[in-house]
Amino acid sequence: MTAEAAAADPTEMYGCAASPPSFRKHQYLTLAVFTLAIGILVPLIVSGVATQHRINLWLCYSVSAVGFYWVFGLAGRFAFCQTFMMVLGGFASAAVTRALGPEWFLLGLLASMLAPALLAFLVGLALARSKEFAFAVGTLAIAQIGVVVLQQTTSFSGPNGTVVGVSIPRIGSLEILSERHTFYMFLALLFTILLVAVLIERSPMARDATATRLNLVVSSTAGVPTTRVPLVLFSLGSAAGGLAGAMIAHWTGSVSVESFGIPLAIGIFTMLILGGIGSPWGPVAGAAIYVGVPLVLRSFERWQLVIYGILLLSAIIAMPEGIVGTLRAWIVPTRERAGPTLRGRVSSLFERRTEA
Amino acid sequence: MIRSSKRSSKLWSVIAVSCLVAVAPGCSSDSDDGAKSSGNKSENSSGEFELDKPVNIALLWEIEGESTYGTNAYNQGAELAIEELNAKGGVGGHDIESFRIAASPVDPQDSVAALVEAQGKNPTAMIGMASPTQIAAAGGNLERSPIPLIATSVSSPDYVFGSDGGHDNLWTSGVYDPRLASEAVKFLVEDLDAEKIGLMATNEPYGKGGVESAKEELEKLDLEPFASVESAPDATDLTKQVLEMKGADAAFHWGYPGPLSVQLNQFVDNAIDIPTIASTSGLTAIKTGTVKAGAAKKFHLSLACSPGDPSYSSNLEDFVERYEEKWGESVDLVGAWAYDAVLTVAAAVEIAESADPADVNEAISKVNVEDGSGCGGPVKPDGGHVFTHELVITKVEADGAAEVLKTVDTEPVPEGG
Amino acid sequence: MDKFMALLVSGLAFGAIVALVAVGFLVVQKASGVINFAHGDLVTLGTFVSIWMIGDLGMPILLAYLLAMVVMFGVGVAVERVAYAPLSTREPLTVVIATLAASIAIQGGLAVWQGADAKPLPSPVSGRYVNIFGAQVTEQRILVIVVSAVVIGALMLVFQRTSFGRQLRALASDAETARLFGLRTRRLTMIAFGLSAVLACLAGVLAAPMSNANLTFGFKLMISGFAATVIGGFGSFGGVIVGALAIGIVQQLVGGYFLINYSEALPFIVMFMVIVLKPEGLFGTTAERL
Repeated sequence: MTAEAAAADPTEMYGCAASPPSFRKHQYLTLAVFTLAIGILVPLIVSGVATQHRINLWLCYSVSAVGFYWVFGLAGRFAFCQTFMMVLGGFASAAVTRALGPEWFLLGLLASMLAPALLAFLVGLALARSKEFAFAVGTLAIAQIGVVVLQQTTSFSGPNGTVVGVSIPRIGSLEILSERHTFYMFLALLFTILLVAVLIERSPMARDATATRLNLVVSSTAGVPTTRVPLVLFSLGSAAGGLAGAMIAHWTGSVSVESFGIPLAIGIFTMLILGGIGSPWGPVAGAAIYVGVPLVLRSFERWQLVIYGILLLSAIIAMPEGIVGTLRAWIVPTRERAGPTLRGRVSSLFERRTEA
Repeated sequence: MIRSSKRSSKLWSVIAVSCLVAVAPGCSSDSDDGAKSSGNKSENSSGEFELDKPVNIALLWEIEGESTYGTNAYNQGAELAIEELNAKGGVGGHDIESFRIAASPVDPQDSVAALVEAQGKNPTAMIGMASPTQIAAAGGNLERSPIPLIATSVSSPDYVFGSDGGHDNLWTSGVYDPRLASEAVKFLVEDLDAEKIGLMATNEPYGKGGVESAKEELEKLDLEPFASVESAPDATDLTKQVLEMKGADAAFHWGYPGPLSVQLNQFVDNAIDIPTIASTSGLTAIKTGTVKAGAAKKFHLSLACSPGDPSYSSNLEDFVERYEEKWGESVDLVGAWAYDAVLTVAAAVEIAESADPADVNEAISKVNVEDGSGCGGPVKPDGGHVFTHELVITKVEADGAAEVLKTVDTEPVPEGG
Repeated sequence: MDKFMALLVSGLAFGAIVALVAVGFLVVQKASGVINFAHGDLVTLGTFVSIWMIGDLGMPILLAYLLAMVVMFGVGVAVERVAYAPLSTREPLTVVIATLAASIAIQGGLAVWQGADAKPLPSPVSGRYVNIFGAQVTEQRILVIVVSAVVIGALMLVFQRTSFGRQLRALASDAETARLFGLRTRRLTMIAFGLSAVLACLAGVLAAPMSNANLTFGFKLMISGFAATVIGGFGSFGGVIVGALAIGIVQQLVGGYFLINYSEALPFIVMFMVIVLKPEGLFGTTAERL
């Protein structure tokens, strides 16, 4: 399909033509290969418990970053509250297992998704009319208010905004204690989230979200549910954030308001941008970089932060589509790449000037 | 036809992966659970024990520049201790070795990763982690390995041994924070004759915990807090909190150094002339020069020890001299804690005559360092896994001049706090 | 009454600083379409340059302030050259992330250069007080309010009455057309970044003597600046100023009398309400004007 043909056939732009572009083919297969490869290779290659721990952290962050991809990448909503959703999920799950016992771990995970999803739904509804920057700052406000409230309430979020002694993950009679067992559990959870991501990518919702993001006015006149779709994606993405928070809480045995601060908020954003905003694989790659780079930079000691900033800047200049986007550009011929790219996707997000 | 087979192959791949992921935990090996160190001893000809490998200490903190919160004080204290011990021949026939992994005080996940990495290198002991958030986050992973962690911070009810956050192998080199807080309140009431005491804190675990302890002590003394206010750890304006203190006899401030110096300065700005008592943060506030000259006229600190006026303890006097000679700068209290933590590990290895982490952990409870400690007082771990029990009330000036007003020997902390 | 006055002046002074920060980053946003996430770090950097000039170079206070602003003009231009110009043809989002990266690099550089500790900044009116209706108020707060009012007033005049102002407004409302009409947009954008950095520095040297400067102090002011801009409607100067003053006063007066332990959250509650009830801001207009 040529560019002209794509322009002539607007349905192609939204990715709903009869045959999807090649990078959208074999998504289940890709997911299966990815999960199998990680599940088999990591135990073979990694022997040190420290490396295993970092890999587990990567899986946790990936879950949250994929969630953020739904909110920001797909729905084009710049939410600043993903880390707060993680805190909320952590507290919710900790509260369930504290009240009912460690054997209710899976119920805790469910609660960790429901609580943030509900909050996101209400916030999303309240902010439905706000655009771009206002939405970003509105969600930032929710995160700030939420943190203060959690610090002041003790029944849910523990004394001083910290809950310690969160129970170890347990499924039936199996306690998931070692880093290796944790790895398999986290991989299963990431697999589930990515499976949902693939289902979303293939669903009409992704097309509706893309349409809404690209042209709100046209979409709403064309009957696209322009309010409902971003709202659902925001709730789903926040649920994934909450799940990641609960994973970290049960894994490390504690959760604190301070555990998920502004550095991580910027971090999750960076994961998405570095990895690539065009598919759910971008945040997974980005999270790997986010977890790995500090190890590489460690030898620079006090210059770490400066070098990190410079690297980030260079990466943005060199790879505006992120790592996954750049790889895709190499692998997939240009004419087939009619899918979502950063360009156009969010171009109006920060630029009101052009609207005038 | 082709279409349906395609679909079923996808389905199968999904099912296959789900099965793999579901069964994997059951069939994986447990090989990653902290290998045991040998660290066996053998007697040498002189009768002193000899280890078959050196004592290796993991240091978990950042140095300046690694994040905006990095400071060199911890590292300098620990390095001094290691250097001095090695000059005396090390422990078990070897020089003590150490390695440092940066653990960010504001990124608990990163701290835990650093802790796990340290555990993976199987050191004799780990020293570091300064913030309560870090220590809380580290908790779960301490269960997974016997290697002891000595936190270079005050101890808190949140992670004293026997509490929910406490662990068999978690120790703290500082004093028990509730003791510091209650002695601070006692000083205001008994020595300064204050009755109306205003409580201030930063709204994080350390500050809020201190205020809780202060309230308990006030209750014991049959007093009510005059006011109790909080601020953010990065607050730069405390006008409203400071105005709440108008009419009080004294202020008790537990929290971060930033808001503390702002409070002291704004007391002057708002013509509030009452004594303030704080803790370790006060030293940092003074050291950074952010407290204005007139603002520290009635400023007191309740501390584990007072490097600013070491005259009350010959141990501390010695330490301050050695430290300043080595690093060319004045001692930060946390440097003394790091120093004491290294001494304790060395002493525990000597008691255990082994560098095996589990043996060392057990031996820590038998350590009793009377002389040569960094913080001056004896280092004698108690039931709550707290190392030191002596504390001092000092008066400090904005230029750093300190005067010890009294020393208090507190009771050992029982298990559970 | 004295408590009320003390809180009111404190709120006004904080609002004035927030207004300066917000106007500073709005100038860049208008000229380039980009939200500069490094703006807060420029506030911090400007403050630390002043602290260094006074403390280490022994310069007189006012001279140091002025020189720091000159330096910061250069830094602003440099940020434009490094983080904006190479990316100006890219999506605004890419540039936003680039400014975020610049912010991380600036913070890291500052930590290496100046250390992590908070530092005090002397002021020409340090330790001087006035009495307003029984409340003792530092002259610094009065200075902050007066200087901010004068500077913002002067800026408004410049933007409305001078050729430079008209050019900048033209650039803000339609960059393409402005270029077609022969405006030297590259130079204008550079000046806008420089001017914005100067305003950041001014906000920093005015705010730091009221508290202390640390490495995140500018970032926090920037967040309040964002809030002010959104409350004001992301458009006119007037709206931003009202938004900033609202934040200062709500935080101090409501926080001081009723919800002291929740006062950190108060400006955000106000902001959230504004976004929900009036998404275009209290003074939002469709016209893009400075």
